[in-house]
Amino acid sequence: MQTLVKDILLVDDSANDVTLIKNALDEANFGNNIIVAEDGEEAIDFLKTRGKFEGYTGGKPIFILLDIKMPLMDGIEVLKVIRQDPRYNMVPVIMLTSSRDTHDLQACYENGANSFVVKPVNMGSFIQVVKELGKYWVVINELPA
Amino acid sequence: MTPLLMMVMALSNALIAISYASIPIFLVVFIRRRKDMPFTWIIFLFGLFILACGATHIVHVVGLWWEVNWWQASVDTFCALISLATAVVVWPYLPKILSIPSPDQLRMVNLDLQKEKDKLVYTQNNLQKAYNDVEITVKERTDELIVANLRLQEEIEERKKLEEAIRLSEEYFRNIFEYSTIGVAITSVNGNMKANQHFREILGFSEEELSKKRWQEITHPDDVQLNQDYLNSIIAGEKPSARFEKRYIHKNGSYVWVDISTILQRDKDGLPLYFITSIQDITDRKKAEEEHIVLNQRLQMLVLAIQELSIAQDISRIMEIVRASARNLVNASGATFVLKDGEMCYYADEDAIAPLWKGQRFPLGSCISGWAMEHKEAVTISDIYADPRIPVEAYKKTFVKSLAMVPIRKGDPLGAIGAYWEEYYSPSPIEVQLLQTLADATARAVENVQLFEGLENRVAQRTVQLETANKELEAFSYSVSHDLRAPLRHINGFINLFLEKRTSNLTEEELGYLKTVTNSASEMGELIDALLTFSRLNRTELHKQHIDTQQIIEQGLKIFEEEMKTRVIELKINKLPKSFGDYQLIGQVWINLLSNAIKYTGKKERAVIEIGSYPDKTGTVFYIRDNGAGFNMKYVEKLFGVFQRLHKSRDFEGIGIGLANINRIITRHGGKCWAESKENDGAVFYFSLPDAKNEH
Repeated sequence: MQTLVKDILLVDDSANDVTLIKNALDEANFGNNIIVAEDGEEAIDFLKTRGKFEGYTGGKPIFILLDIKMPLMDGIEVLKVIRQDPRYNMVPVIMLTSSRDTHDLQACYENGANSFVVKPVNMGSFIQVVKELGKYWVVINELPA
Repeated sequence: MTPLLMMVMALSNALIAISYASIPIFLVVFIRRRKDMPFTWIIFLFGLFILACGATHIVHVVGLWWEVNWWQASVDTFCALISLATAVVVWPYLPKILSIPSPDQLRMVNLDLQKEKDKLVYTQNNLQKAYNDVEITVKERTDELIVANLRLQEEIEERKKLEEAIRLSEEYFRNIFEYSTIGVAITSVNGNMKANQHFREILGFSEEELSKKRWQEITHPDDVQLNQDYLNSIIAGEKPSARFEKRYIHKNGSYVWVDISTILQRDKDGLPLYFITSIQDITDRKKAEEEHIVLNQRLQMLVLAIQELSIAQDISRIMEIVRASARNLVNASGATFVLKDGEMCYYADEDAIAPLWKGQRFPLGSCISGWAMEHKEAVTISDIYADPRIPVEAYKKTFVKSLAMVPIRKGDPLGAIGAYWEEYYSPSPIEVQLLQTLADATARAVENVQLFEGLENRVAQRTVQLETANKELEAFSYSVSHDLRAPLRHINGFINLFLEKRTSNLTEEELGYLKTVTNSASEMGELIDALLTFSRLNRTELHKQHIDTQQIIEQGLKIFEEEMKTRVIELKINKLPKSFGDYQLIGQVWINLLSNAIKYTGKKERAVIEIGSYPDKTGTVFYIRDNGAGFNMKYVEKLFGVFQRLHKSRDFEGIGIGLANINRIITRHGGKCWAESKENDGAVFYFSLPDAKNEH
């Protein structure tokens, strides 16, 4: 049975960041369930509903928060797979990064990212950013379905 | 008949017969006396007729006693026939006989004759007189002739003397002509020639052979026109004589160079008769000249080759230069470039009329290039089949008959250059020297190439190392930017979480500690960001463009709008020229400088900031002057260092990266940064930017 409120997919290998991001999203009053993939491989498993996500019935997430720097398969590669998958290619993807590296920024947009968020050292500002973004995407996606 | 009668008859007939017999005698005497008588034969006929009649009368006498018989009859018949013949013959002559003048007529004639004779006598007298005169004249003339003869005799003597003199003179000149040590020829206008001994010797022809030749036939085809031009101009009277150099063709086919001088002999009317030409054999001189020219050309070739060698950058180019120039340098049929390859001679390259040994290897000890290398000296062999050092088998298949071989780098040979001839030839010492010079230059070139290649390799190696280092640095800074910041983020994040979710109240002091932790983490985050920005400045590519300096400054000032509103700042921006650089980075420079100026004037009641420029050698110097805190010039060297600060953080915030960034940006643009200051009395910061035309 499909829940009414769609899930948010968070792909990040740093447990600390996952905790802080989840907290920030709570602070921003997102009621959505947050599905966490701990690296790129798991993100692909999610897309294919296998492994850890076998039997997952949440459907398409409302948006995907995707960290760039991850071991093995990085965020850019995951982004490419998402954009090539006809099921998910319309799902908004927000890239997360620790730096303002212009190469990363360019690679993200070239591969179809919808947004780019620099994880600030100060968590308060991060919450603000996620709040703004979340609102935006939720509004867009909550249109009569 | 009576005897008397018979007697009378006999006596009268005898007398008639006697008479008849006497008349012819008379006639004969008459004719003999008068030889002028015409018609003598008629008289003779009369005589015969009368004699015949007389004979009949005798017969009649006989017939008186003897009966008439045939004998009597035949005499009568004979008489009759003669009579008849006489009668017949006489008649036709009657007119002629009648025309014989009569004595009267003759008398008249005689009278006439007498007159004539008188005339004749008179004439004869005159003639005699004339004859006498003539005699006198003849005498006179004879005398004259004798005198003339004498004179003639004298003249003949003189003539003889003169002829002798002429003969001597002719012989004299002939000898001069014939035995002169200069070749002399006399050439008719149409080309036939007569030449003296020396001339013939120069050309190798005999007198007879040469007499059948025209000069054009024994002149080098290339020189005929030149020669003809000279002759024509002499004939035309443009010049009296000509002197030039030309080539004759020797009888043996070789060419003989002569210095020729020719002059035209004309007749009394000025018409050309013949040319007198003298020649001197200058073949030796010409040969020397040609050798000189050849040597010059070869030296030029050598210089060219050396020049090319000096800029050759690889061994194949060196071989290319050497094989071509070695062959031309000594006019050989082929040249080889041999490299020492361990104990082998490697025939690396060649240029020859037919293949030699390109690509082959021979042991050092069994080839001539090896000999030259081992003995460190040049070798020439004019007959390879007579030299024991030659491996005959290797040469049998080739055209080579003679050769010269020089070692490349005499001290420690690294190869050799060979030149080969298809005809037997003895290379001259000069030729060997040319080859050796080429080889010496080749040695330098090879050494240079080796050095160059060594350098190239090292540069390539360094480049790879640098690239690796750069990549590592890139990875390092990427890692720093992500991994160093994450813990700081986590420190901040979790302290915030802790503060949100704490259940007990913390003391002010405890809160202060936590605040310090988060502040320090934030500060470190800033430091990391600054460091990353700084390191990235060196790597990001510059996108240079023309920049409106005025506009870029106004753009930068927007950042400080808020702060400037709260302060008294007098900002004076002079008219500024356009600059040329990376818009983003130059913008950052201005922002940094403005930021500093605003920051360090923060403690002044009234800040004065002036921006201006002036041109320098390569472009423009921009400056920004403030009346702020300034700095101690003692530490000016540290001013542009990374994380170098000349003020306490307590006084002025900052991490000391701004000027370091400016310095790096300006340096990358080919400009310079410097500053002047007096502590507490403001500072001036300068930077120069080259114009677009001075960009490299």
